[in-house]
Amino acid sequence: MPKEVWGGVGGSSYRDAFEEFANGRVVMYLSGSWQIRRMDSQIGKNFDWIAVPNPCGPSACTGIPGGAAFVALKRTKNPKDVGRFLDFLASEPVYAEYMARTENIPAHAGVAKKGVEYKVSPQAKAALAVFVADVPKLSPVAYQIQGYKLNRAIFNPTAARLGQAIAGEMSLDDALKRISADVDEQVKAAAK
Amino acid sequence: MSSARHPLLALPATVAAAVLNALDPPMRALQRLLGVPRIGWMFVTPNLAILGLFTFLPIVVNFYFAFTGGVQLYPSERPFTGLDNLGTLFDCGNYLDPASCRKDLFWRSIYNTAEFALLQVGLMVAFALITALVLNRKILGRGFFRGVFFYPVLLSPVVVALIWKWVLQREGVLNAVLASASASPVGWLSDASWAFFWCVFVSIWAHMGFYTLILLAGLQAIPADLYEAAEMDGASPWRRFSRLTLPLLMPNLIVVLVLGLIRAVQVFDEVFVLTGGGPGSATTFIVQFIYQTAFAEAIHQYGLAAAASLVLAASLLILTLVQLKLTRRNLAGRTGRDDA
Repeated sequence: MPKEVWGGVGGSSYRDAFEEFANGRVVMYLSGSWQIRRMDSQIGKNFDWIAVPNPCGPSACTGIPGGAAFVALKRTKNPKDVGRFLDFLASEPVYAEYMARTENIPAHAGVAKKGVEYKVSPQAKAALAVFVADVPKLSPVAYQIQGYKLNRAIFNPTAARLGQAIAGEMSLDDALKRISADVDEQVKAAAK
Repeated sequence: MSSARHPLLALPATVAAAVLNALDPPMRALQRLLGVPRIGWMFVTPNLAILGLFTFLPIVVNFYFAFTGGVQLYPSERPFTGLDNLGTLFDCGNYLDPASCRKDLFWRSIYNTAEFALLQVGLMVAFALITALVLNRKILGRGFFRGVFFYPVLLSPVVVALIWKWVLQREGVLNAVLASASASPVGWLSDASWAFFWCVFVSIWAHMGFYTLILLAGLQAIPADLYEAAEMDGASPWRRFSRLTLPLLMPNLIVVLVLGLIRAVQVFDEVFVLTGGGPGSATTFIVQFIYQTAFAEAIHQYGLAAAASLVLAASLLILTLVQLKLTRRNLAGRTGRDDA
């Protein structure tokens, strides 16, 4: 992995590693399903690529689920109409069509079971199928961390401190200690 | 040549006179209402209001935030914590070892800033002086070169940083040149030492023109007959430089030195775009630490950031006082010599 990807930026800045993958600088790229459209359009026929299932550890084979939600404003003057519209969006055929057109992974159990007819290239379709198949394997802890309101207080110090360890400023053990201390401090600050 | 002016040429003057005539009655009424001594306040009030709103009010708010905690933005909702924020910043086992400090990034940024300021200002003043000395001579294309050296000053810091990022990134121009010479590419921005070097270099490149201009103005103010007299006395070029140029340029050099130092301590935009403070924290400077603590982290610790900016303000105040003292001493010395 080129040092620029993780170690080349400071603090909690995020450096998009897609270009590294698209230019053949890294052989594997751990990211989310939102990259598939980009890979399909930008890599094109330059080289073959495939998506593989999430890596397995002692406790789970999981990534961290992303997610989006349909929401309505509480103070709407037309709650019934808004409710009907949300029902319409969440109905199985509409939701399946929405997922197919936006190339997203369905969170609806029924739609996920039946499968979504994505209107993309066979390569992208195969990659999306891998992501869909991985959804049932996601750890409950992964859902919790994604829904945790202070999750950035975990993500940011992790990126910043690991960046420092990669740059040689501290050992990995020290980086892990600093991550714990940073998270504790930020959670305490948020509680004040 | 006809002495009669074209009617169109007289139009601006006519319009101006009309405007002034129209303004006259209300101004006279205001003067009667406020009185002559107070009318001046009416003119300075808009500027004072802007200065108060955008300069003095933020300073007061910053002070308040530095002694309060929590993540709330409204001052009334923030609990008073006294010196806790400053205590957190200065909680260190050994001040010379940032790793022993509770806020290690604060201390790393302090040391990085000090190192950057010393290197950048020292080198920049030296290069600016050399450039000014060269541009002060009657060389071919002098006007063009003056423009060339001043041009980067006109660029936005973000533009400067992006230009150099394209040059220095792994797939950038510099590595392409190296590759064409069959040399291995270098991680100019991913290696801590190189990244720091390029931050200093880019900053010098971007700002040197401004300081060169100040020194050039100083050089041009030195009377040429002094050099002629020294030359007739057989003084060597080095002696003329060390005994004439340097002492007479000292007021400008002090201004350049102190302005450069103040600017170097405040470094942020160029470096933030160029390296993001990395690799690790190798190019994280104090202003970036303040920005990250207040706005970029998940939990916005405004109090801690405000306390860090008090530390920055204190160091800038010291630098300004040093400048005032040096300038006064220099002026006093010159006046003393002149009187003698």
